[in-house]
Amino acid sequence: MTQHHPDPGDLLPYGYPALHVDRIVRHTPGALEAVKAVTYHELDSHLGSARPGRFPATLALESFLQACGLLVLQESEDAGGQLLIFGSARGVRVLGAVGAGELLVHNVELVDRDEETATFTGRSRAAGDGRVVLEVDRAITLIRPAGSLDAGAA
Amino acid sequence: MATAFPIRRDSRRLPLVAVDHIEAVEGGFTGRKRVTADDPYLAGHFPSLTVYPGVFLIESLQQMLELHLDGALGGVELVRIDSARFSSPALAGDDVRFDVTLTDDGTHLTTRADCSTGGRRCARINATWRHRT
Repeated sequence: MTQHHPDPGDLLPYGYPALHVDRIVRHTPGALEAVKAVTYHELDSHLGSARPGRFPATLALESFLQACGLLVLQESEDAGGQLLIFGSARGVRVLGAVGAGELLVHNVELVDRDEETATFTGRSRAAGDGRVVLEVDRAITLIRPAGSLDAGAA
Repeated sequence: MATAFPIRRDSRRLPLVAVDHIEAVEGGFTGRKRVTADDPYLAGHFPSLTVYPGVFLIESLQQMLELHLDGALGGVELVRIDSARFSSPALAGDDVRFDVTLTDDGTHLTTRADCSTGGRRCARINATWRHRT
């Protein structure tokens, strides 16, 4: 059965070029799978001439964290009233990279959550051959009211 | 995007130039990155406010390490973030200072970085890297 999921752009406050999740593929309570398509169109806005173009590890981690944010927001009754901020991480291992033309697949799990923080674990892989490119033991995001960063509120 | 720093021809792709200045010190280096509202890459992060993403502090650290080692961008790969903690956001107009200690065991490079704005710590990042091959 095909599930219908919200568009990441409707849940996260980011726009081009900072939105790094294209689609939510699967969601069950406490777990979410989301994908990011890596393209030369996007990569050519970046610096460097390596071929094939590879998605930078820092942006792969940002994409992973956005998938974590989508999991929290999808399970929130007041998604529009919440802002998620990267708080901390440990045990983040970069095992490879995805290149132009590949799909980056994130599988994230919610480990713990209270009113102010959410803790995640997960991994990211390339869709084609399934090779794992990123493993995250723990990532913690801070859950704040929307607008809390505005006007020096943070 | 223009950059004042040389970039290795075989460089990994860089999302942006995330460093303004570095200086070698005993046991490592210090670096600076000024967050600017007109950086096109930051335009879409929080549309109402220019916030330098936490992962870009990691990118800044990587590029500072590359300049410190090679005098050019693109020669280092991230292996592992052992721990990272972001205690306050870096906003437009902030000068982020990196105080970094560096150790090299011949295979891996390990950095311990304290990041601060206006003398106040905003992040601490412990990470492991290797030379691009």
